[in-house]
Formats: sequence, structure tokens, C-alpha cells
Amino acid sequence: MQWLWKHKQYQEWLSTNASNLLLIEGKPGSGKSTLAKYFKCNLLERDSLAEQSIVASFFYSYREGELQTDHSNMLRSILYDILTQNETFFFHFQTYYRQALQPGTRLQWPYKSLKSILKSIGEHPTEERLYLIIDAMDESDDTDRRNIIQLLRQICLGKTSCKMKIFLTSRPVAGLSHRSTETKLIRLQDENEQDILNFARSFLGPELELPSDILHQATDYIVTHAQGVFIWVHLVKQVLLSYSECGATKKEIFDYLKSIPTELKDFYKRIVKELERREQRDIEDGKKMFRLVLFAYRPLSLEEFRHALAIPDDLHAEFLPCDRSFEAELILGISKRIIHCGGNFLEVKGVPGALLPSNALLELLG
Amino acid sequence: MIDSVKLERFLRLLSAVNQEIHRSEFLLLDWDDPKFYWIFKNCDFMTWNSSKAPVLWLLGPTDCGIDQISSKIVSLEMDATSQSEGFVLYFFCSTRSTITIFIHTFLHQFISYLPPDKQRAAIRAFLLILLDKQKPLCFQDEDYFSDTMLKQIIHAPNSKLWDALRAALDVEKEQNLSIIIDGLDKVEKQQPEFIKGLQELVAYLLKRRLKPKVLLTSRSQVDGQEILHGLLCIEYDKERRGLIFKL
Repeated sequence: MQWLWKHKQYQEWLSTNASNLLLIEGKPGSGKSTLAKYFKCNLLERDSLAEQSIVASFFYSYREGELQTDHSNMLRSILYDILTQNETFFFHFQTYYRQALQPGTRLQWPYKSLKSILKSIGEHPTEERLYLIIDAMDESDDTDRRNIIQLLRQICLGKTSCKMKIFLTSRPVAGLSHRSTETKLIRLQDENEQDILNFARSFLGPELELPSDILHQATDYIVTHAQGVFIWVHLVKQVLLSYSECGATKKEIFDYLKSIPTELKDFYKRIVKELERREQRDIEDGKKMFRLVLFAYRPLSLEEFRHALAIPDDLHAEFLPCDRSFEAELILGISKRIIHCGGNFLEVKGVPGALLPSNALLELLG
Repeated sequence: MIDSVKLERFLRLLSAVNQEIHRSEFLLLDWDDPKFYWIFKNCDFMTWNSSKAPVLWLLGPTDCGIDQISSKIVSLEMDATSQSEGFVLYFFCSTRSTITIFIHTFLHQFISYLPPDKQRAAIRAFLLILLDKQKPLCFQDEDYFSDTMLKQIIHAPNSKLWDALRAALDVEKEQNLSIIIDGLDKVEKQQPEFIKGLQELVAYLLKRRLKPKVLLTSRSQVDGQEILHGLLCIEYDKERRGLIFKL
């Protein structure tokens, strides 16, 4: 991803002495979030000005529920980052804060006030540099998305001492198509070919031990058919490694590679079909896992998930919810079981680990 | 006899401390410096500054530049009062400050502002309160009202001095009055008594005058400050810290 720092659009965005927006647009699975995280982690090292700057970020995430899709939460999170890093911004908040404070009730921030505060910060009277990193705008609540995009654009139009550098990633969505001089655009699928090439090489050679003649062909095939979609390559890696576990010739591996659907959705359907060919017990466990993950009120921790799986489905089944009898029903090696029964559709995220539907599953379900 | 006390002599005998140095020390302070946003862009300061609230208490640590702010505000108030009718009384407390020094300094500044006829009236009002009414005056001329005697009178017990200051200030009720007292925490002797006297003076002025503007500052909590609770107060960074937990 080091190409980012040298990219013309990025450099123009960074060096312009004004507020502006860098839009990283990409297909699903093209690595937008990975790039946003990479940018956030390496910004301080790469940009000497960033050390004295404020860095605020928010990662929209559809699968993590309302908390991560709601625009109010995005604004609160960003405003929190700003105010904790620079106390001189407090006066932008003060009046709205007092209006929101109602004696005896829990403070509720009006959405309108949060937007006004961010707009006011964009007009801060002294020389300050702020980086706003907003990932996956397409995964945000679509009710007011256009207005939020509009607000970000408006901030960039302001000619004030305060420079707001907005790093925004998204799939193409309505409201983002409008171009202006304040917006720089990078289309991820045009840029990540080298990253895909490196990644493909990293497993085709060392892990699959393909000889050099077929290695080049396979690498070219993957790069050509990935069309900038990183997640497709990641899935290819998993199925190829799984296929070669029992031993295969280089021709068989390459033929298998060519048999993989190049469209992501078709690929997912094929994975589902493979899951359906498993033993009945695996299929039943898999179904139960999907039900628990998709219909849980909140993401379950790995331990909660293990316990939930141990509860019998049959309402009339004899079930003693005591520790000793329950202990025998708990799955050992739950992580392995999740991968085995859930394929690439379930994902454990964070520490100690919460179980979420993967982007692949959400994509498949539309 | 009181009327025979000459102005120069009276002012010379007061234990007043010249405050000019504090006023000129921070003239270069930039109002737009972000370091001072916590006060100059605070909505409570704006309320006070536009005379919508009479008293403001600033509380903050040494490094937040509170003395610079006080000094700047003195200058701004002086500029404002020079445009209109009014005067500014200010005092920068130190470890050596006492109630007597404070009252004498204020009185000195106040008298210096007044036209000659009112200067005499202020001295008279001040001394009248301090002289024990139970004992008839037996001075025949100014010589008899010697420096020693006058000094003794103007170094009266604190409660009398507060009364006398109030009486003197009553001589001029028409003009706007701004009061800035910086560093209440620095007063080492009689701090609670000083705060209480100050609070009573402010309360008295609020009753008697149309719109006095009073600014009090301290770098830390002060003994007896509970009587200042209820005043409009800006404590450095306190509200921001509270807000962060509610975002």
C-alpha cells in the first residue's frame, strides 16, 4: 500500500494549503478499509505536519449494527477525538452543550447540533490542521448520508486558517459522484494491482510450492481476474490451499484455479454449495451458527457463542442448565469449528473476540 | 476638622501599593492567542463582558496565564471607561497583601479618579466611619490631627475599614465601575476574612450601583471560597472535561 504516499492525487490533496477531501473509491472487497487503517497507522510517520495535527477517525460498519452506521455516532466520535486532542476547540461546543444539558435527564446530543459543531470547527479562527478519516461511507445509514457528504464538502469550501484534510473511503454511492476542485479521487481497483500481485506471489510460491513456470501463469491469471478485488484473491488463497492439502499436480491446481468463479457473488454461492456437501452434523451446526450471528441483538462473544451452540434446538429436549451437564456439551476448539461449518462467512473480530457475519455473507445476502 | 485633612497628605499616609506595573506588564497579550480561548471565547466571559452578568470568577492553574488575562482585562476596561464615564479599580494580590493594603489601594485609586470636590467628600466619608462617634473630636487644627494620629485612624480594624470603603465609594454612584481583583489565593494572611469582606463589598455595590462589573481570579481553591459559589465562574478546562464524558 506504499503506493499511496507517492500517488499524485494524494500528494496534491496533502500539499494543498486548504481544506480538501480525498475520496478513495473502490469495489466491495478492494481493500478500502485496510487502506484507511493503513493510512491512520502510518500518517504520523509519513507526514511531518501530522505530529502537531489532530487526527480523528470513524469506521462505519454495517455488520456491527446501528452503533457503527449511525451518523450521530460518527459525529460524536470525531468530535470526541478533536476535543480530547485540542482543548482550544471547546468554545465550538459550549453553547450547544449547555442547550443539550437538561437537569435530571440523560444528555442527548441533537443531531443538528453535532453537525453545527463540526461545521463551526471547520471555521476555527487559528492555524490548525485536522485529519478526518472516515471509512466506508457506503455502509452508513442512508437516511441522511447525502447531507453528511454535503457537510463534508461544505467544510472543504471554507477558506479559513484551519485546514481540514478529509480522507474518505466508499463504494460509489449517490452524493459522492459530484466532483469539485476540493475533491481528489483515487479509484482503488486502478491502484492495487501491485498489492494483489505481491499477495498472490506470497502464497502461490511459498505455500503451494508451485514451480516457476506455472507460478507466473497463475499469478497473471489471478491479477487479471481479480479486477482490483482483494477479497477475491484472499478467498482464492483459501480454497487453493484447502484443495492442495491432499496433494495435487501443478496442472490440477491451475485447472482448479481456473474453475473458480471470477465474480465474487458466484464464488460465495460455490462456497455455500461446498458447505452443503458436508456431513449432516456440520450442516446443522453451520445453520445454527448463521442464525445466531444474523439474529443476535448484539455481536456475541466467542464464549457466549459456544454456550449458545450447546443449547439444544428441540424445545422439548431434556436440558439441565447446570454447569456440570452443560460443560459436556460445549465445543472444544470453537474457532476451528466456526471455520469448518461457517466457511468464510463468519468472522471473529477484536479481543477477546466477537463473532460477526463477514462482509462476504452480507454481500451474499444483499 | 476632617475637612482640614489635605488630599496629598492623606494619600501619602495610605498603605496603598502601586498597581500600575501589573497593568503594563502584559499589554502585548494577544486576545486571539488560542492559549486564552478558554476565557476570551467562553460564553460566560462574553456574558460578563457585555455587562449581562455583574460578577465573574476565574479559576485556573498558574500556567494558564490568569494574571496575564487579568492584566489584559484591566487595560480593556480602562480603554472602555475612557470612552465613557467610569473608572476601574484593580488589585493584584500578593503574599504580602492584607485587607488594609487592599482597602487603602482601592481608596487611593478611587480618589485619584474623582474631581476635587468629590475627592474631599470621599475622604470625609471614609474618615467619618473610622472615627469613633462615641468620643467627641477634640482636634482644633490640622497639626493636632497629626500624621501619627491619622495613621492610627486609617489603620482601623478590618470591619471598620470595609465599612469606610463602602461609604467612600458611595460618593460617586453615577459612573460605571469596574473592579478587577487578581490572585485571591495569594493572600496569605486573613484569607477567609478577606474573601468574606470582598463578597460583602460586591453585594453592597450590586445593591447600590446600576451595573458594576467585577472580575475575581484565583489560581487555586481559596479558604472561604464557598461564599463565592453561585457567582458566574469559569474554571479552567472543567467544562470541557465534563463534556468529553458526555460525547
